[in-house]
Amino acid sequence: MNRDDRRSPEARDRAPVDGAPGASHRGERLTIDIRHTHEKGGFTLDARFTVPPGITVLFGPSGSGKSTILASIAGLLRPNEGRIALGGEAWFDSNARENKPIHERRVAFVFQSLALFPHMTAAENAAYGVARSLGKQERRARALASLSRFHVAHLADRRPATFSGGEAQRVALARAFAMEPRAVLLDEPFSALDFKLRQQFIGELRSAAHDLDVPILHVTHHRNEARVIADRAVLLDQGKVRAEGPIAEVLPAMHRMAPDDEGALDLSFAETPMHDPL
Amino acid sequence: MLFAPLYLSFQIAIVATSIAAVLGVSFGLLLSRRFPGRDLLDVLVTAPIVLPPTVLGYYVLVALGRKSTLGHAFESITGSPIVFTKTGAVVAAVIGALPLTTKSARAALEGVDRTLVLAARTLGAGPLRAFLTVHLPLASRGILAGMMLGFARSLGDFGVTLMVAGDIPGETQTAALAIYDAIQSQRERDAAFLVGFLTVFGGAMLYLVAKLTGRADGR
Repeated sequence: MNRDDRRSPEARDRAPVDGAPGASHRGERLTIDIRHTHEKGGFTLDARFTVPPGITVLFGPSGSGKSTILASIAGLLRPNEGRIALGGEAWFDSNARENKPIHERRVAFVFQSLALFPHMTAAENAAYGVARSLGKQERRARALASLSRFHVAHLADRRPATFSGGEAQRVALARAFAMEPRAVLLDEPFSALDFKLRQQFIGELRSAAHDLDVPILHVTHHRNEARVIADRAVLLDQGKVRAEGPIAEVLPAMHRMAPDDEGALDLSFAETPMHDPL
Repeated sequence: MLFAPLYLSFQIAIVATSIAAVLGVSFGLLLSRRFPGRDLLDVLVTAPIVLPPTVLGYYVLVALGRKSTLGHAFESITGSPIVFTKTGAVVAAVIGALPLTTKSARAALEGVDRTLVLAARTLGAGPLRAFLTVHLPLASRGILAGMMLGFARSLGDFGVTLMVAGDIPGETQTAALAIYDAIQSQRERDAAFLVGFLTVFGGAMLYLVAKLTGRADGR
């Protein structure tokens, strides 16, 4: 499918306004088309896919290139060549020598380690990404609203050292959504959670994603998590996209790719989290 | 009489530590990155630990003396030369403190989880805001420890101060120099008082630094 045809006409016409609070970027697609070889050797990443608004799972075994893709979209890593764009706005384009700085992309990145700022309270963490032009009170109000959305408003004035795993997770998501991001990247955000918490989170994340209406790329290698949370999936193996499409269409390929994932037929999730270090 | 050199020492050490702290954090940040000439900068900043004070003093006199370009420019702007003034004593004290502030700042800055700084960047912070609000505060404990060591070090500088600032009572005679003078003129009680004060102060600084850096986390 031609990538340009999939972009909505509204998205193309709408001029993006950088950093403007409340500027709407809803409905825009994230298009990724990059090639990258790691300095340390190994495989070459050669990935081309689209992320429409909603949750797309990036699925693949450890070392398949998932983290490289997330880092490239956020601007933490500069791919060797290719193009990354949101709607009509190129964030990275090796031909045009374009590489937008990290902070101008407004991509919320929920790291596997969560990366909450230890010297700030939950409210300060959540307010960090809110546009600074809004003023202190409004920023705090938005931070608190996002914390309550993820049911952690009561932690507002406490610091991360005192949080449980689930609480830290919620604060990290609240921080990511409070900034009104143009895209969200989730790097195995549930890897530290047990089965029950995972189920709760999936519902909350889906509802937050629906309201935000921007592309959300969710990295996981749990097939059942992918099936329940995602609208679409991109299957990655050895740096190449093996399948891409609505989750139902991609499921058979997912099964072939990860036949050892437990609980293939029931609705439970793998109890033991696996780690895919960045 | 005895308090004048102590007061002067503190004045000089406070100014010198502030300068050495800013330079130390800048060099520490620079040295935690890869760039051509990094090892050379590292050697230059560390040299005052191993070189004789007379050698360092010689370099300062050559670089900042009244006939040097820098020294001449400074004198024509401020009306006062660098060498054999308080300014010279501050320069000497900065040289003594700089290796300590730089090494501590570098270690502290490198000890901060890089993901936290990147997280700040993804949340819309430019490089400067990410540094000032996340990187620097999380490294502050180590930087402060380096500043305290640097302060104690610059308070007691003798050799370089004597070379570039002289031993002018009321102008450049710091506590360390006053001890030497007191011994030379057999005022042993004066010497003992200053020795005692500097010993207790230096010891207290080391104790506080150990307390400050002993705890692993930043809270």
